[in-house]
Amino acid sequence: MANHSIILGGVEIPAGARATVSIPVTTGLNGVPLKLNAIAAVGSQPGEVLTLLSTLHGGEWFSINSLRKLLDTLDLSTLRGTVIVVPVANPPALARQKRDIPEETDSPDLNRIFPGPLTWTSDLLVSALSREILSKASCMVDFHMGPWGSTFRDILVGSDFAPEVTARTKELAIALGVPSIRVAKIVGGFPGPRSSVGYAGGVLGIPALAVEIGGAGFGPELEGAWEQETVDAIRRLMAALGMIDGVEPYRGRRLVYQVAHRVNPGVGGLLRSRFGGDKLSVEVPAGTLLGEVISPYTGEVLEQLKAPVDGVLLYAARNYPIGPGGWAFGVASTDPATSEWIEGSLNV
Amino acid sequence: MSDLLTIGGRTFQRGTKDFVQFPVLLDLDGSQIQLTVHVLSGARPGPRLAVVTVLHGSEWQALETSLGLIEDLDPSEMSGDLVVVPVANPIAFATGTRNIIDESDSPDLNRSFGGRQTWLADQLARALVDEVLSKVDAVIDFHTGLWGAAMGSVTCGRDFSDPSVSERALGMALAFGMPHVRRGDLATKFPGPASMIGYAGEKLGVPGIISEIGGVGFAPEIEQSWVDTNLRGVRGVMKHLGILDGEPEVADEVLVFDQVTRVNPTVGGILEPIFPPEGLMRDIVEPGQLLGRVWSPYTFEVIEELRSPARGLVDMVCRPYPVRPGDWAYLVIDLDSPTNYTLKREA
Repeated sequence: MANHSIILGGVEIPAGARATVSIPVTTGLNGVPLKLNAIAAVGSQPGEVLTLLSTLHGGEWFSINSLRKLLDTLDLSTLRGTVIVVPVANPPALARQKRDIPEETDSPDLNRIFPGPLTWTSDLLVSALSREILSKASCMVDFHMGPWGSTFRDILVGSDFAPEVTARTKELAIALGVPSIRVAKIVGGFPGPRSSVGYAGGVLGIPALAVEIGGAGFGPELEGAWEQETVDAIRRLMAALGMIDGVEPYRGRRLVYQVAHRVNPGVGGLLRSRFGGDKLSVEVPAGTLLGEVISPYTGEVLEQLKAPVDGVLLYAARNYPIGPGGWAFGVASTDPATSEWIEGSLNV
Repeated sequence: MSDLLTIGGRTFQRGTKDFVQFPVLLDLDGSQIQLTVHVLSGARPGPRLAVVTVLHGSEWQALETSLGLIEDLDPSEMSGDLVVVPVANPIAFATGTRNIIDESDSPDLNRSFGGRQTWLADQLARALVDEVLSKVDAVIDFHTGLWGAAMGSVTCGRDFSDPSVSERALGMALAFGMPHVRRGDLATKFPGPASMIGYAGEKLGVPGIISEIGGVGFAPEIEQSWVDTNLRGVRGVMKHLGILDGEPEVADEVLVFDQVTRVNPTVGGILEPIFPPEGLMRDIVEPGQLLGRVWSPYTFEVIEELRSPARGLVDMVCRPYPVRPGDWAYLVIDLDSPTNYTLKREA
């Protein structure tokens, strides 16, 4: 449990206050100081310290506005504990809207280098994040995905954290109320202990979730719904952490699964999607044609993308130019041997 | 002399629809960069129109137009030829960027026409001139369609050395069917004959127009409406030229304008539109009207407001997205400019 106040970047933020703190990281070749900004909303009463990260990958900026909206919902006079929002964990990559920092480093991906042991820009950003933010957290959520053209709805839970951490993380994931929850080895598998979630859950020993909801390029109706879905999900998580009251539990079905399949193209071309953003989380039988890649040069169909198993659509895409491996579709297997459906609301 | 069109060493027979791919240059990664050119060769001889898309690699929405034309049009109904280059800049298209990413002094293909160097853009431009522009009677260049912003008008040049080129370009622009046409100095001002349309008009005497209608990242319905507008527009130009039968649907009144002001951010942040995409080239804004704002993704504070500089039509709209200084947000056409005029269709 945290104290009533919290210190970030050497600045003490008292109970009942909201403040933005700039944490110095380094000075770049352009002569400009690089800073990491965090917004802390400190409740009037003590409680958990929930840290929310966005845009660790620069192209995955969709969650920034969701976190902005979330902060606007918080009443500090009744909040128990502290919410720390890092809206842009990777400013250099956001500036170029690229996943990674465009430097000639051997650690360009911030989500593969925790806790940032070297002196590359990316390492220094992660080091500041680990030292000044994550060290204060008792629970962490890292928001990913949402680049132009593709949209996601999924949660990742580590099965190989310490048993009590995995159990608590899974409880919180269920409380969060997203229709699909992947339980997989994070520390010993992908994306490994050098990811934010792997580091927080495996090394720091705090519940840590990777949440992927929404994407850009689908119009205001769908995108607005995904933003609201994110706000609602985090508020349910906060209720489960005892930070706020009066939140309705999620009453829908959730698929807790272990096996997911990427159905991404093996060739570059123009993706013609048959399962756009409005089809997220639908069940698809094996063999369902999800989309086709056509040649932008000749118009010929170059590749068909089909569901490899019976499953649930984890991510979908709109029509857009796509390179080999680009985000198109993801299917969670609903094989009962590796998955289970959880029905209705749960009081965690 | 044969009336058959030969491109990339291939001769296209009357009444056929086919394409040719021919090499342009060898890049450092070992890839042989080529251009793909489709020819819809009409059953009867006649004028030749070229449609060029993705000259800027990030402006890919017009692919829906070029591929749609190839699919929909029937050469047996055509008198003349339609030449389509779906991806004029395959190098920048592959990186999803406007320009070719190299350390050249001509990274922008649409500023490289007439270039005499061996940079990638110069070689691509020369191939387009030699194999396409020099073999057609008119050309349409499609732009916009990059993530986050959309435009809504057609542009033609008015300052070509040969006045008939300017007049023929205006005729094409009117035939595109929009109730407004931007008429600018494409030969003598930015970007001049280094642009494709500027080069075609000034150096080759080939009239051309630029369609900047559309954008991506918006609701599917509005995006499709922009694609449909472009498809109709090309058909209108083909009718105007006599390649297709019938008369183009020309608006009863057409606003011809030349004064456009960019209202783009001076700071980086998250652009939040106030003016809706549905108001593109439809709703009139007043001087000082708030069009959008930029807020900091770091502090969530509003750091810039974007306001209309004039009473006008909005020729560019945007959706919420991260912007750097100068990125696309709004364009406003000054409706009170003394250089505006209206063309009325004769009964």
